[in-house]
Amino acid sequence: MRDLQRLNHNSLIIYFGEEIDAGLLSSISHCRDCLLAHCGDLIIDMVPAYISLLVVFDDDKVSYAQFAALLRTLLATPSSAAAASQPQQFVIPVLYAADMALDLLSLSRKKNMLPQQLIDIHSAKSYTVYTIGFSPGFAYLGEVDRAIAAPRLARPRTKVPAGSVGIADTQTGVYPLELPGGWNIIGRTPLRIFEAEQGAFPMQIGDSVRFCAIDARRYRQLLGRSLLDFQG
Amino acid sequence: MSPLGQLRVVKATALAIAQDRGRRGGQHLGLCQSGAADAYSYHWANALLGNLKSAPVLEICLGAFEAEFCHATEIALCGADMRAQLNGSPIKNWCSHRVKAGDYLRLNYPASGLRSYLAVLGGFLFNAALFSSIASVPREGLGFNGGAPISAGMCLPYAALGANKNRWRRCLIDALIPNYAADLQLDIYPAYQWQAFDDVQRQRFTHTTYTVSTESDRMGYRLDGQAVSYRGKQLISEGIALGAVQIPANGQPIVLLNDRQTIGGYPKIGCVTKASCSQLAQRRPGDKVFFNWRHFET
Repeated sequence: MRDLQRLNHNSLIIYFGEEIDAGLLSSISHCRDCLLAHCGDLIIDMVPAYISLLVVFDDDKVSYAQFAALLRTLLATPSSAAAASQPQQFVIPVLYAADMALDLLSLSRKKNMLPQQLIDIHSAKSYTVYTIGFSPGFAYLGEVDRAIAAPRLARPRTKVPAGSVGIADTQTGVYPLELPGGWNIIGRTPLRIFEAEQGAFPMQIGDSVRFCAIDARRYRQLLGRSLLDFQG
Repeated sequence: MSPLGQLRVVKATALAIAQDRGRRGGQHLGLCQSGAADAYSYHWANALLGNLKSAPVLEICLGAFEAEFCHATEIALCGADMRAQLNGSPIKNWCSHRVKAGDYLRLNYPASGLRSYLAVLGGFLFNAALFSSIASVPREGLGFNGGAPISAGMCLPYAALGANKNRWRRCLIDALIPNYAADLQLDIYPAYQWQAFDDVQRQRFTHTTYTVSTESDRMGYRLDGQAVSYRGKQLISEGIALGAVQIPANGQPIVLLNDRQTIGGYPKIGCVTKASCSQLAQRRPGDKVFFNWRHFET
């Protein structure tokens, strides 16, 4: 199901489904790649998220009617020229310990498990990037095991340190910068996730991410390295 | 390459930031669009000088700004009328003006409106461009000056193109100058979850006069008035377009502007037009606004 809706003078949104489903992400990525390949010069921005793709076009170059017609033709032609980009895989090292895991103890107590069990469950599976937003370089990763899923804190923190790894409902993610936020913080990565000066962030929707537990010594070794650099 | 001119900032007590047309191509990474909040005034400030459409300017809130030009150039001021003075003599808003080396510009508290756009011939030469824009975004700490506002003591560079005596001073015709003192009609397209709001809610929405709340900024304008309720299903976060009107749980609408978050999960009843967004960005807390449905021309 694809539903195209106009929003304002130069934006429209395409819905690919109604419920969250990792399977939709490849359709959204493919659509994005297709648009970039065929009319990238007409596009200002595209924001993929869970089930939708927001498209902002340059209305100095093309009218809404022309752009929408072009889009409908592209959407109707399955898998035209653009080669489907393969999802990337990332590994993010995390120190799940001490002063960095602000909510690890309280959350594991709430879940009737030992902190180590919670860590094992969190680092056992591979997560999918569903969307990126909220702040620069914040990737929403799903889905965490129900056994460790937890609602956001009733009282959000005014500052969560950069690199903090958290859980909110069935999602997990890494704070790329120091930000206010209400996620349950269970550890911290030493890596720089978002290269602010270049505006560079390597993850895309549909990519997969795994967390691996490291010790304090390894944390110090890796401190400040970039995410891409670490993937080798 | 022409030599550098400089604007030496003597006073900047209210908020003044470097702005331009905004970023292009960064929203999928979570970087906000940014750009001049009042795109209309920004456009004319550059157009009166024949600058590029994307030339960097200063967006100055509520006056309290003084600066000295170290090289001759031409400038234009558009937006809220800050009763500007050059060397103590008043100069007209919505006009271009020649300035000489040593000229002193002073902006005062405006009678109405909020933001003034100061453009120089050729545009300010700001560094730290990200996605084709130098726009300062304080929340992200990105853009010119690390996202921070302009402060006293800073020297802001521009191309020292001089002032051309053969160029006429240009002014915008009166008919195109907005009146920021009037209650504002916000034209809004039905969009996003519009269909999930029933007739009663849609009517209440357009029959209410809302007041601009004190919690309004470049991210969004919060409005106080009759609550609109959403009874549709819970929403999955999606990309937010300029002017989207979010209806949070308390039912008080929020019009999302240039520094808005890229995605959000609150229901949205429609999108305010670009022209209305520009006008809204000139309103202050306490000002009155109301919504008017508009439909897309096909």
